[in-house]
Amino acid sequence: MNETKKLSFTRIGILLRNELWGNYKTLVISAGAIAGLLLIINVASVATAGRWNFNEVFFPITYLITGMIATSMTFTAMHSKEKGYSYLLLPASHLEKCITKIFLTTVGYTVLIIIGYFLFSLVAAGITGLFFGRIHGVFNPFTREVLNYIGIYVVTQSVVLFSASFFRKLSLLKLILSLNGLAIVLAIVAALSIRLMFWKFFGGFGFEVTEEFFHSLSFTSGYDNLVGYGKALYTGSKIFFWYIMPPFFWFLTYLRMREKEVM
Amino acid sequence: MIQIENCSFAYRKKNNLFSSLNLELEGGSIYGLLGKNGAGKTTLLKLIAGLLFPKEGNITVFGNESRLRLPDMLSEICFIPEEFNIPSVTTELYRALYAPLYPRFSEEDFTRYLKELELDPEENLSSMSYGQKKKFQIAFGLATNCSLFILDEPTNGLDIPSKSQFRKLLASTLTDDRLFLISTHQVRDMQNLIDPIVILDEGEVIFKQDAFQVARKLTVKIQDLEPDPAAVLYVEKVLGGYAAVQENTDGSEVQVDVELLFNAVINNRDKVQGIFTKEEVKK
Repeated sequence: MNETKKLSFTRIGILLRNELWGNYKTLVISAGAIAGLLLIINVASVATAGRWNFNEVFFPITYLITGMIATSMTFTAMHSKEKGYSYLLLPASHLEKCITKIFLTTVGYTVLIIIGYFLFSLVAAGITGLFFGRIHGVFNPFTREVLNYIGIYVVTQSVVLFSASFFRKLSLLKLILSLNGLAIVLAIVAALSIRLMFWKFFGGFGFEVTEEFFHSLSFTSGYDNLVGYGKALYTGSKIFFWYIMPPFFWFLTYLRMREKEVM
Repeated sequence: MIQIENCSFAYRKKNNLFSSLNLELEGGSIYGLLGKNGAGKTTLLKLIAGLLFPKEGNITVFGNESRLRLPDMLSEICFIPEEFNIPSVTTELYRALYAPLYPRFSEEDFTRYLKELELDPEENLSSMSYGQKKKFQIAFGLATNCSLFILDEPTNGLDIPSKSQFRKLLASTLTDDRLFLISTHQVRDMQNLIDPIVILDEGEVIFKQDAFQVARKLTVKIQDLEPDPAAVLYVEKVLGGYAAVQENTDGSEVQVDVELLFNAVINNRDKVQGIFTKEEVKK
């Protein structure tokens, strides 16, 4: 298949514009509600508790939580019985539709929240300075912490985006439940493995830590090698988390969109 | 234009709605897709549009597999389902947002169709009635100049003048490279529009004939006395006697009422099929 048939930046531009136009009211109302809530907390905390780094606490909370919620609602139209057909039959490829969704929920949302939060902090500082003579400070987006939050957001967004494409309703809740379920399963597997590997040291449900137990944990490769494995595992996990997870889940999202049917 | 080969589909694993369905539809016609409730008409429309995927077999539209939903194919399809949702924007804004995705969209045609269907271009779509929204979708769809129009119960919700406008518009916009596929129960609304007629029953296409062939092979006679049901294909009590659908043996060409034809095919499928295949066998 000719690639030009699947990827056109003009069509992506049109899709982006249409998405923004179609959702701007919800966006403005939500942003207003969040800013209002944050302003109340900001003013109240200045009035009562004095100076502390409000933005350091509330920027990541706002950024991550609202971002997850917004991302989880990305595919509402696609899953809807009445809107799904028009979304899926829009003359654009799955790849273009997927890129649009990813762009909006990563770059688009991040730019919007940083600018929005910066403006909010300015207004909040103005108000609290005027009334209480104290401020929490203005949000500085150019810090290492903010960059780190962006990274964490992009990784978690990819998982949430996939769950939004997978589950028809309450995707965020279902994702949290699924992750909890997975954690429980992993815990059970780990517990059973320990029980089987160290069966000698168990008496019923009781576990007896003896000297023999520590001897049984003999590292044939030596301590230095173990540290090496640990480091490799740590680096591998980091690479997996930062660089493999987002494209992997975005790819799964793309596949899910491709396989989506309207019943 | 549309090719369905050995298509099977099931909503549930064990209950096949279609098993080995074959159908070929060509441009330049307004196909009427008829069938009883649950026969699979809407499902077939969705399969053609690529909204559902066949479990087995192939469905190609303009030579592309429909399930791939390629942009080139989608820009040539207008699908208007029975239940739909359109954004709360003015008709003008809707055009500005979505028309660029259709390379052959004609603003001139769009304005003309809106006028013909008596729609206000400044009106917000959310304030329109269901029928008006449907008319808007028809106007927009026609203005895209797409080649395949798939309409599910298009006259539902349309008032009497709108039904007539709709028929006129469809007839006037039919070209050799355009295909209208209309699924409907309101056969009287479509009586003079749909040709050929495709009847779907129990997951099979049991009838696919054009009006000319139907008029040549079948006839309807109004009789005072009830005919022997075994001697006719279908009989129904009507005002002034009995309408009997039977084989046309005297060569006169009488237009057969679509509802009577449908009932004849459903009730006497083998006999009707036999009449239509008779000549083909002779050839």
